[in-house]
Amino acid sequence: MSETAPTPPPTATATTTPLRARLRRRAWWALPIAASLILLLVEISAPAHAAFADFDLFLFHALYGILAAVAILGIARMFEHVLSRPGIYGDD
Amino acid sequence: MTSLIPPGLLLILGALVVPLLGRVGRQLVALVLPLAALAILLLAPEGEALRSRFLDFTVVWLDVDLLGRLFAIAFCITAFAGALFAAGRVNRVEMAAALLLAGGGIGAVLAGDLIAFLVFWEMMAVGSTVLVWCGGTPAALRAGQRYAIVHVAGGAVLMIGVVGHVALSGSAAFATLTLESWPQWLILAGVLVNAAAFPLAAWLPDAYPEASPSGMVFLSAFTTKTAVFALLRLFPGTDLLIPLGFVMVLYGIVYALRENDVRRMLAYSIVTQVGFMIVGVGIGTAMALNGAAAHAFAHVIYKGLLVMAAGAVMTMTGRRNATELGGLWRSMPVTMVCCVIGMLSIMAFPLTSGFVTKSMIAQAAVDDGQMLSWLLLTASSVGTLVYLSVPWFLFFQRDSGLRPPEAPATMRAAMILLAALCIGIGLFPELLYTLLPFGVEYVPYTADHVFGQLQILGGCALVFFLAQRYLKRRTAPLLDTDWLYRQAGQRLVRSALQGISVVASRVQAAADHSVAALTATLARLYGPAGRFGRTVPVSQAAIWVIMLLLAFLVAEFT
Repeated sequence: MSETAPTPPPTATATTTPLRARLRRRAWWALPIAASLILLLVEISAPAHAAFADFDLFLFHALYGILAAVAILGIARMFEHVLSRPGIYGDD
Repeated sequence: MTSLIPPGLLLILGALVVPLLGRVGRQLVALVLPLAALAILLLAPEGEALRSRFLDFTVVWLDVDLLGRLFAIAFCITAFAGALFAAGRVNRVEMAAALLLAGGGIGAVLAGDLIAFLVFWEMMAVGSTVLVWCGGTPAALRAGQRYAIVHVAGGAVLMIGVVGHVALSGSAAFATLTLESWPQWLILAGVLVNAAAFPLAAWLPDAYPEASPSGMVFLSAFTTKTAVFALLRLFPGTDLLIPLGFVMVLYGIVYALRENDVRRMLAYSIVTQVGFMIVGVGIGTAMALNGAAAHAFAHVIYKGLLVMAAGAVMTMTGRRNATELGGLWRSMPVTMVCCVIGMLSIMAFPLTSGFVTKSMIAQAAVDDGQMLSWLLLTASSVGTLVYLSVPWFLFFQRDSGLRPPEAPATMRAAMILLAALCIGIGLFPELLYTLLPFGVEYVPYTADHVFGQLQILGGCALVFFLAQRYLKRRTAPLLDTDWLYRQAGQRLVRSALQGISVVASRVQAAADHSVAALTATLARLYGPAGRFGRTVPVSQAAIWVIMLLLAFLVAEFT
């Protein structure tokens, strides 16, 4: 008969990612979502249209560029999470 | 009737001759024919036409107008530059296929009616499929097969549409259609397949990167731009095209952002840029159509340049993945400079062709009061900053340790030619304006526009460099619509074949059983001991005959 003590079963904490870590991993979603929402507000608001039409708001284009870039990066990451499928095309 | 040789026909004849020539003759023909076609185009007066009778129709094989000439000029330039880039590095089949593709493209954009357009369209499909196969790898063979299937299906849809339209309307005129009948919808669908419109875009990044470095230069220029030409000719102002174009823009950016293969990245960018053109076609004003046509012209050139740069790197290093490259600016400075110029053009940086042409579409949206379209176009154009990653991954980022020699002289000459055109159009847009189908009074270089564009590009460049960790390239593929025919379709066909096989084997077993039973019955009846096989005495047979005769007589006379 073996003298070795039996290995305890893995605990829940060892296999489950803590909520905080999961939230931290998902935190990057917040930035592009916020950027997209702001961009949407800009696009549906008449004063923003006017500002663009008049070109009189200094650095507004730069801000728009930053927002759009963040939004697009975020959208791309979201698509990647949803659509990334290793080996989906088999040998192709 | 024209006294000139149709430029497209010239290249198609060249495709037939090239396989018979030696290496030097092949190169000369491939270089001279596009220049000859260009000279004919520049000399041909507007309205020059070539007609012939076919069945009950008069087919207009050539009809030179401003829109067709613009596209044909771009095609001739790319065919020449592509032949220069390929000089000495392609076999006779590949060169013939490239000339067939170029000739088909030029013929299609100069076609005077739908029948002639369809003939040249199908020639392009043949040429481009062979070009993909000339990649020479098993992956190229499979991708070429898929490419052929998609384009045969698209061509069939287009053909049914054209035949239906001609039958219903009695006209094969290559003029605006209003989507009032089902054949016109089929024509739109057939054209959109070649335009790589979502959800039918996956064939493009699947097939083009598998061609050889020079093969992809030709592929990137003709098929999708001919489709854009057809949309400009047939469906200007179709509202449906605006959202479709935006979806294409977003699709190309999203998929390119995480792509590791630089050539696939460029293939996705074709979808994005064609999306911009389709938005212009959908807006449909003279300015928008000018913008779409001008952007197609500029795109043929700067995309050819970027594909050449990636192809030169692939030729010199044998690698095409972003993760395997970097730091090549030290040993390939000319290629690097040309690639950066192409990248600036695609990003619409001031003083490059993209700045002039892309902003024409955006301005058309403003002029037409479509502010949402304008803002979306601006936001989407930010996404093209993703192509900053092409020169970044190839020539900068980390040092990969690779020190390949600079690309050969002919490759460099081709890239320098296209880079000069990118800058030339950016500096002197009036030269391009004279070729456009409608009059242009647009001035791109205003302080507001230049500084606004610089701000947008600067803002998103900042994000690009700050977000480097999110731009890491992935090797796992993203699910795309081509999964339907690459995997699900295959499984479906395999299951159907298995089902047919099971049914066939059961039918076979039943037939075997029936034949065996019949054979046994015949053997029983006609065998040596069977009823009809037994030996009967003559007297007994005579009695049977007499009995039958008596029965006949009784039946006859009663």
